[in-house]
Formats: sequence, C-alpha cells, structure tokens
Amino acid sequence: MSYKQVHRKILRALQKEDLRKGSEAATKDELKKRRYAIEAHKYSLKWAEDVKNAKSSMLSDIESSVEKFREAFEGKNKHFYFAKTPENLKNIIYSIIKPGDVGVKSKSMVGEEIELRQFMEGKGIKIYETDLGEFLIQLANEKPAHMVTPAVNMSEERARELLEPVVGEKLSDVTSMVLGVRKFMRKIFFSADFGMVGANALSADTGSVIFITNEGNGALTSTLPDKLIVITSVEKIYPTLLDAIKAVTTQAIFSGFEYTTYVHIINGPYDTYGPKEIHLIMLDNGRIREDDLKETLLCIKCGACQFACPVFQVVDGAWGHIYTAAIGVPWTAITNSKDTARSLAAFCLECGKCREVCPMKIDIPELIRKIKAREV
Amino acid sequence: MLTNNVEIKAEKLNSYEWKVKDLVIDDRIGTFSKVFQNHGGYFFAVERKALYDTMSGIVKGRSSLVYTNLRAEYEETVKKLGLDRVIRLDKNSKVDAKKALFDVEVGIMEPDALAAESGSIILFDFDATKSFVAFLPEIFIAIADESLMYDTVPEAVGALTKKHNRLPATIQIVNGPSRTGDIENKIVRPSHGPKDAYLIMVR
Repeated sequence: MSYKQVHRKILRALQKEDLRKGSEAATKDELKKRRYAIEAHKYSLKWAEDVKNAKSSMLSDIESSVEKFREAFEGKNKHFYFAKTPENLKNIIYSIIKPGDVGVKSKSMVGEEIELRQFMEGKGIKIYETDLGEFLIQLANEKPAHMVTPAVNMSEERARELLEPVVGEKLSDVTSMVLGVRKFMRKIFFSADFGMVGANALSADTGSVIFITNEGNGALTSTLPDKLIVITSVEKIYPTLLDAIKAVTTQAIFSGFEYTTYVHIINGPYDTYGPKEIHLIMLDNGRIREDDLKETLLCIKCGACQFACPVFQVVDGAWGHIYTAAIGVPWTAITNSKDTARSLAAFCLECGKCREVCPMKIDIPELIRKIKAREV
Repeated sequence: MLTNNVEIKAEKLNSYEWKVKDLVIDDRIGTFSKVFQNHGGYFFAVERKALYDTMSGIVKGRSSLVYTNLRAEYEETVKKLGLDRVIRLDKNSKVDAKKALFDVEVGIMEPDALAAESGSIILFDFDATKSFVAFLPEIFIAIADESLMYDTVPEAVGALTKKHNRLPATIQIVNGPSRTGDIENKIVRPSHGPKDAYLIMVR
C-alpha cells in the first residue's frame, strides 16, 4: 500500500459512523480492564519479565529453537512441517486436506497474515471461523481490526446484518446473535473433517502447543474432528512448558482479561476419542532473517499497545494492513511489505504510549523510526 | 499408549520451580470460591450426604447426562438422579461419542486438580473423555474434594506431572462457563461451550 492508499483508507474509516460507534463502545474501557487484570494478578509483572527473558533466549538462535521444538514435538501421528514462505505453508496444507473437505478453525493471526482462509476457499475447501469476532470478519470479508478482538470496530447493527442471513432467523439482540451462531456452528463442529488452531505458545522441552480461548470454540475445534492442524510461527517457542504457561497467562492479563475461560495444552493425539493425527506447520515468513527489527519478535500479541494508541482509538483497524496500529508497522515490514510499512509509519504520532503499556517493553516508536528512516 | 518418549518429557519437568514465589493464599477454598464465581461459575461446599440433593437441584428438568472419571459412590449418586439418558464415557465404553453427545445436556466428572488463585479446574486428559464431558454439554459439573486444591495452575500442573510421570494428550484448564464479548464488548454466556459451570466441593 502506498501512502495515498493508507491515507484514503483512514479517511474512509473516519466517515463510517457505525464503525466509529462500534469502536468507541468496545475500546473505551480496555486500558482500565488491563489495569484491573494486572492488579488482580500482581505476579504478572514479574512473569512478564520472565517471559521476555525466556523469549529472548530462544530468539537468539531461532533455527536451533525450531529444531529443539521439532525434536520434542514429533512422534506417533504427530507431524512437523517447516514453511519458509506463505506459499510453502499453503502447499503443505493442500497436501494434508483436499478439495471438498470441511474444516472448523479457531483464531490465528498467522492464518490472517498469509490469508490462509481465502486460499483454502479458493481451493474448494470449506472453512468456518469459529471465534465469533473472526466469523463476523469472515462474513464481512474484511481484515481483523485487532489481534485479540478482531471485530472490535463492528457495531451490533452491522453484526446483525451479517448474521441473520446465515443463521436464518431474526436476531433481536447480542444474546440471540451469540446463541444463533452456537446453534448454527454446532452441527459443523460435529461433522468437520479437520480442525485448525493457532498457538499462543509452544514449549521446546515437551513439544506442547498452548492456546487460549473464552468461547470454547478452540476446545471443540481441537477435540471433535479426527484431524488437527496447528499453524504457528517461529517466535512462539519458549524453552519450557512453565515458560509457555507464563506466556499465555501474561498475554491474557495484559490484554485486559482477568482470566480466560479455557487454556488448552496439547501434547499429542488421544488414545481413543479425539483427533487421531496432529499436523503442526511452523511459518518463518521473514522472521528468522530479520535483524534490524528483531525486537518485534518479542511481541506476545496481547494487543495492549493497540488500545493505548491514539490513532487506533480513532481509526482502529484502518491504520494497518493485517497487523494494525503501531506494533503492526514493524510486523508488516517483517511479514508482508517494507513499502507498506513505510506508508503506515508516516501516521505514527510517536507519542510512546504503546511502549508504556507493552509487557515486553518493546521500543515500538524506535522500530517505527527505523522504518521511516529507510531508503525508499 | 504410554511411550518412553512421553515419560522422559515428564521427567524433565520435575526439576522446575512450579511454585509461584511471593504468592501466599491463606484460604484456598475461600479464594477459589470467590474467583470462580467472579468468572460466572457456581460453587457449592457440601457434606457427602448432601451431594445427591445438590446435584438433583442442578439437573432438575434435564433428561440426559454424560459422566466420566467418577469414583463408584459418585457414580451411584449420578445414576440415582433418574435422568432418561445416562452415558458413561471412558476409553473402554465403546460409545459413538459424536452421536451420543451431540445434544447431551449435563456433563459430570471428578477433575484432576483445582487452582485457587485463578479459580481453575484442571483436567489431565489422556483419551478426550474429560474434554468431551467438560466442553460439549450445556451444564458442566465438577465434583472435587479439598485434596485437589493447589495455589496456582503451574503448581497444580507440576504436581500432576509428577504424579502421573507422563504428559496426557491434553491438559485442559477451565476457569468458568463459556462466554464471548466480541460484539461491542457485551458479555454473553454461553458461546460454544457450557452455559453453566459448577464446582461441588465435597467435605
């Protein structure tokens, strides 16, 4: 995206009243919630330091970390794949599932990063996003506005317009929308050929995959279909299971959740019921070779910086490509396009609020300054 | 199947510092009760003889339940509830789980551990039966005694790993009923999991 295209996107977003209304309703209390969550779990400040140290140790030699994880993960009916590029990942997926298959998917920023859903749909594979926010994004054919709450900018009215034709009934309020989607999705969960999940953290000692949800969609996605596919990326690896548990807890707390309803730690296929095979695909997509912006990889994707950002508070997902707001700028440079990142960087106010709230203390304004300073 | 590989992985974990430093919980049950209810769960502490009445009140008007991992005396209590359809699920039960559990209303089990600080119910699940019982029905009931209570999730996970000396297929941590706040931050329960989550502490 050029500077002009970013500018136009932001101007268009400013003109949409329903977006402004939805965004205002959803973002106004986020930082307050984050403060309460940290207050309720005071140890999380120390854990954030532990997580940063653990993550730094793995990022110092990413290829070796990937190898350690692979060794621990692989086993009977557990298959590991390394994908250097998005195209590699898509080809691997296409070797695991076939046209006509139906899948259920829980939220994954890696999936968004490489537009995986769009790829699968193009290949005749039916995929249902099962996180409500992500399902709304799928129906609207849009990009997520936020890393944790993808439909943060969507108003109740807009959600109703999208859901009623799918669910096939009148949805008078938010409760009826949620229950309507539950009923609609239940049959699909029980008959799906495969489940697909992302990972919040991976542990190199046990080869475990850890992810968190509030809705229970990840629980059903990872236990009902016979085939489970995990899509993840290299910076999610922690030295130990304990570090990984600390990481997902820290992520949730700094996202503003006093708790998340479910934490799932997947170690292997079950003995009897549940998935019979697990396929884990680990994406690089520019992360390993990154040097100048490597600090970005410390990001645990809690989204606190997005809510703290004065630009995001006004235009939300319009400031960004796939990863939005300030941290989205270096993420875009690493995983998508340096030119687009430069265009996005021009809209940063350099106020530093993102750095203040980041549990990993990433100097996001400095990363953005580096991108601004790059030659065109 | 138990494999050497999984045992070795569990062995590694015994040396970790699972206890959270500088965190003192004087009243674990009181803390669990408060936190779990803050999450939207229901907590009952009952004498053994009151278990039937407590469960009977919860399942009133329901006609189907599934249970797993219950000691014999709790199993008898569950059967006495008199629901039309009662499914016992374990790795030998040969139940076609997807057919049998599609519309089952109540799930009951004894969990593997509880964590006071986060109001967590922790399941060490080797064969997916505990996951199905915890996630699929509209009502989830966990029956536990005080010996299962730890301060924190890491402490509970460390203790369970040591006890089993192997890792299960999944460790599931349940902190309350299913919910979503994805539309304008309005919290709705349930989303895809149980609407109600109960912890019955049997004294």
